[in-house]
Parts: sequence; C-alpha cells; structure tokens
Amino acid sequence: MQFSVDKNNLLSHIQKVSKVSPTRSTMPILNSILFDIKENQLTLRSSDIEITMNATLNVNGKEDGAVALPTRIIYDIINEAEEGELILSSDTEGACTLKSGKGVFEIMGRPGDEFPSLPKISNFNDVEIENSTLRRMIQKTIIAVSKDELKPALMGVLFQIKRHEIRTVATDGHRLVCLIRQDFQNEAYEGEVIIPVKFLNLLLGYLDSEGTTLLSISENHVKVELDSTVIYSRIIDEHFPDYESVIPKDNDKIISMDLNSLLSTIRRVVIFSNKTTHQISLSLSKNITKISTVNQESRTSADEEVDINYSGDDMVVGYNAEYLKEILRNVDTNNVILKLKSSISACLILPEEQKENEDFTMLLMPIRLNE
Amino acid sequence: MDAFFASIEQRDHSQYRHRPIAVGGEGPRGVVAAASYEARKYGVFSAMPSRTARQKCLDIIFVAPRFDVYKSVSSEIMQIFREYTDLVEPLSLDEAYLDVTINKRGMRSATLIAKEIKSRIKALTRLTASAGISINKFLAKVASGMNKPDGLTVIPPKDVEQFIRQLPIDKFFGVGKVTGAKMKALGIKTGADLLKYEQIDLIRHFGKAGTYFYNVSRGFDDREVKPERIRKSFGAERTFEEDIIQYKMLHDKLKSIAEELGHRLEKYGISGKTVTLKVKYHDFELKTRCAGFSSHKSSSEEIYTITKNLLHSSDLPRKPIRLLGISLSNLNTAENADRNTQLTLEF
Repeated sequence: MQFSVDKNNLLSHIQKVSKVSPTRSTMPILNSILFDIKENQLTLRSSDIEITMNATLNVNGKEDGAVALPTRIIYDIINEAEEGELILSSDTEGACTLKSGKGVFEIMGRPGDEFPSLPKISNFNDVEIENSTLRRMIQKTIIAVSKDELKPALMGVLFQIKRHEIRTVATDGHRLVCLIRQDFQNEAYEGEVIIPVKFLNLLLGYLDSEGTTLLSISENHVKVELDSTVIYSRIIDEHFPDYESVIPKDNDKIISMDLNSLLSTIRRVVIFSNKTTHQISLSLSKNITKISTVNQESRTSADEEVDINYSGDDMVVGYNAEYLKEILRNVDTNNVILKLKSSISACLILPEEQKENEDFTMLLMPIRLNE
Repeated sequence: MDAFFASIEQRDHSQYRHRPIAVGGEGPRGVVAAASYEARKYGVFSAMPSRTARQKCLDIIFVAPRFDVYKSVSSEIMQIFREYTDLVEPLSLDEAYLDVTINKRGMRSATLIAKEIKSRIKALTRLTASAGISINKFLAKVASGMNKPDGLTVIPPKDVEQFIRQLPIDKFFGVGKVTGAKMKALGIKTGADLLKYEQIDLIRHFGKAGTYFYNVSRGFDDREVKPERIRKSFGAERTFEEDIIQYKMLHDKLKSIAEELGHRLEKYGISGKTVTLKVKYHDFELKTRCAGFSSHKSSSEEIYTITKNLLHSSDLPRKPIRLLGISLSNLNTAENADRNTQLTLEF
C-alpha cells in the first residue's frame, strides 16, 4: 500500500474516526484504524464491534492495499507532523513507513484483512428526518439513558417511528424523558428500535447544519451516511419497558414556578447535600416551597425559599438534586410545571407550554424520606 | 473455649491426647484451623499454613475438621449462656460476649456466673473454657485471653486504669500485625503510651480505629452486647487445589462461587449494592475490586456477570490465582433498609 495526502486533510478524517476506537478492548486490533487504498480513494475505518465508522477521502494512490495502524500513535504523529504532504507506505505484514518533511517514522501495524469487515446488512428502511428535529430529539432524551450494563435495554434511546409521528424515549429507571413530534412525515417505515447512546453522541456532531439526515434501519443495524462518512451501529436487541404505563395521568398537585430561580436555588442548596445521595427536599406549601438539605456527616445544612404558584395541600418530597438539575436544564421555557401526586410517586416535569406539534414529558422518581 | 476444635478432637480420640495436633488439612494448601496447647508450645498457631506448622513441629498430627461436631458443641454452649441472659453476642462458634448486668438468675456477681458457666460447660462437654469479666466488651475480651486455658480473669473497676496502662499494645483487641507495627513505630508499646496521644493524632494514623483506641485506652467502650450481630457483608470464597490462570476456568469457578452465594442470599433474603471481588494470587498478593450500584443485587447471574467484569479489570495482575472470593455489602438489612431510598419506576 502506498499513497500521499495533505496532512490536514488526513488529520481531520482521523479525528473523526478515532472517536469510535475503544479506549480499552479485549480485541487489540480494535485499538487501530484501518487504512484501505483503492486507486485514489482512501477509506479509514474504526470499530468497537458495536459501532463502525467509515470515512473516505481522495488521496494520491500509488499502490492499493490495506493496513491497520494503532490509533493513538498514528493520531499523535499526524497531529504533530509538519504541514504539507505525507507519504504512507506499508508491506503486507503491516510494517508501515510514514514520511513527513524530513522525518521518517516506522510504525508496526497489522495486515488490513485482520480488521473486522463492515457489517453485512440488507433491507434498509430509510427514514428522513430534519437535522434540527433529530438533534432536539436526541439531546432532550439522552440525559436519561442508563449506564447500567445489567440493563442493556436502557442503554440507548428508543425511537418509535410512525407515518406521521416520531418519538424518542429514554429512562434509567429513576427518570424518564419522552419527546413526541407530529411534524414528521415518512412513508417508508413503521416500527421501533433502541439505538445505542454512543452512536447518538457521534451523530450529534453532524447535526449542526441545516438539511436532513437519512436514518437507515435494518433488522439489526442502523446506519447514517454523512457526506464522506458512514456510521453503522448495532441496534440494542432488547425489549424496551412499557414506558407509557408509568407516565402518571392523575397527578393533581400542580405547581408552576420560575425555572431560573428554582435552578439557582437548587445549585446553592446542593452544595450542602450529601455527596453520594445529593438528597434535597422540597417542602411545598401555599405559593411557597422551601428547598432544604441536611448532611449529617459534615453537619451542614441549607434552606432557601422559592416563590411558586401552588394551591394544594402541604407536602414534603425528596429528590436527587443532580437528577432534578439535569431535568430542569432540559426545560426551555421561562416557567416550569411540576405535577405531583404523592411524595413517593413520579413527578411530571413539563415546559410551561409545549412547542407546536410537540409533546415533551419528563418524569422523576423521588427519594423516599424517612424521619 | 480453649483450643476449641483441637480440644474436641483430643476429647473424642484418646490417641491425640497430650500430643501436638492441628485441625486442618495437611495438603499443600492446608491451613491450621486450631492447634492443641501441645502444638502451640512449638509455635504452631491457627491460620498458619500447614506446611509451616510441620516445619515447626515434626511430630504434629493433622486431623481433618468435623465442623458438624463443632457446631453441635457450640450450640450446647450457647444454650448454657442463654440460661443466664438473652444478651449473648457470639463472635464465633466458641466465643461470645454476655451482658449479665441484669441476668435471669438474679445473681449479683458476674464472677460467680462465670464460674458456674465454666463448670457447667466442663460437666456437659468435658471441655474447658476461659472467661474474662469486666466493665465493658473491650476489657472483658482482653481479660478472657489472659489466663488460658481454663482461666478466669476479673478486671474490677478500680483496677481498670492500672490494667490498661500496663497492657502491651498487641493485647489490645484490633491490634494485629500491621497496626501493631505501626503502633510500635510511633513508640506505643503499652496502654500508657497510647494515653499520651491526642484523639486527632490517633485518627490521623489509624482512621476511624483511632477514635476506638483513644476511647478504650481510657477504659471507655460503650458498644452494647448485641444478641444478633447485624451483618455488614455476605460472602463466599474458594481456594483452588492448583493455581489457575486461564480465564475460562476462572469463569467456571467464579460462576459456582456466585451460585453458592446467590443461594445463601436467597435463603436469607439479603441483597446488596456493592459487589466485591477478592483475588489472592499464587504469591499471596491480595487484590480486591468492587463495583457499586444504585439498586440492590442478589441474583447469582448478576453477581457472576459483575464479578467476571471485575476479574477482567485491566489493572489486575495477570498471574496464577489461588483464591477467588465474592462478597456483597451495603446490604438491605434492617439498619440500612429504613434509610432514604431513591425510588424506581415500576415498569
């Protein structure tokens, strides 16, 4: 294999694909990037088995071939290389030479055919989504995705796609976010998939521009093509829990309050809370709520009152302040609505008013407080 | 009880009497579970590798343990204790704290109770016991070990201060090899030396235990005798006949340990939020890795998956392993159960 290419052109593509390379892996080959030359086209590929990314760029090809080079070292040297042309060549064993300016760098790679091939996928259904919609649907829900490897179904965002509606849902069992958009048209596909969070984070990096993205869904995989880059991801083959059954319908204690004053109060109070539980309590009474925390270990405590609109019975309810903060930051209206039923059931957190054609619901389970 | 397991074996087998015996396996992995007083003269003690015991005493006789026998003797003894008080806190099969401040017999003297219990144990089991009597757990425990075997040591309130002052530091409960060495490095050889230290300095050197040392050196120990100790962890472990390095075999072993633990957890209805893997290597290096969760774990499958991942932690050395163990802590037991809990959506 041999080719030459401009340093910055290659660097920008390596930066992209290196995001997929796992930091630690039981398969050492995955800690490398595949360089595959066919005529004047270089394909770079990285994979963590679940997710595979392909990026192509035009180069000056001299000899076809493929080599897998260790991600860290190839990234570092190309990052530090002098501006201008780079020449990369390798033999069939994977021994690679990089020439840049007056430098000659020898890198031991692996033969290209040892790198995992692209997933074999057929029967894609293409779903076209506006970039701005897709970005919002991912950003709003991704905060609730679980990190618990023992609950694989919750380690991604559920996409429920219908002809005229698209939903994203995520939950870690303590909180849940569901976003429904009705300004959506698609004739190709109806169904649901759980898409891994890592893929969605990668995808978010490409959704800043206007336009649309084509989400291609097959039985086991999802794929997006973004200019010269293609990302494949395995779909989480698990059953997503029946989330609709836990969204309360009869929460009748309705509170509305200024979002920013609530958030800034919580930020102050949480400084004094227990560092593992982040427990705070909201003592609700007519038109006022007291937000408090007591940390027995460090003997600190905090109390602050916030004005609210509330006319129901007095009630005290505990929350993990970190969860509550994350959820409140997700609200993009000036006021936030909290709907409660009891101190041991889920609280609904809603924007003051829904955007057009949108239904945005968040749920947070409280901490049971014992006196 | 004095040399409990070994004494039972000598009682039941006349050929072992007045001979150095060790209860435990003699194989390459064997460990002495108990040594008779004859063996102790040679420097053989419990928890010593059997090989070392053999080196110290060529004539030593190894006797396979009969735990069912020890357990039944143990329950006979505990039964006697409970005739005097319900406040019996067993420390092991053959050792317990008794709070006899108020006792079922209405006896005024703890010393008399101890004498009576000792003679009843002897009559019933033909075994000797040693008793320590004092104003708190710490002193009673130290006293019980003072005149073994068949001892009875009383530290009356008026003697407490003097007793602690002269007490060698390694006789303090909680001072083993490591802490003992640390104490000696600080010039602490007796209780009197310990008294010279401020609480804050002891905490600096010994963490939480610093407060304990500070208090007990002043004769102060307000720990109650708890009839049933609240378990803080629940575990199972296994020493292999041969060291293992292959992951596949380690996985099999881990799985069976997880299953054993899972069964016991199920039996007692216990679950925990922290899972710890213990690995002892062929060179006795000990490593532990733990994982914490927001929800309680108790199923053997979950525990297996978690500990398998821990076993693959990249910072664990890759060398032959002689022992694997799993334990669960942060338990759902009474003390923790009523703490505030993050509630979960019920799908």
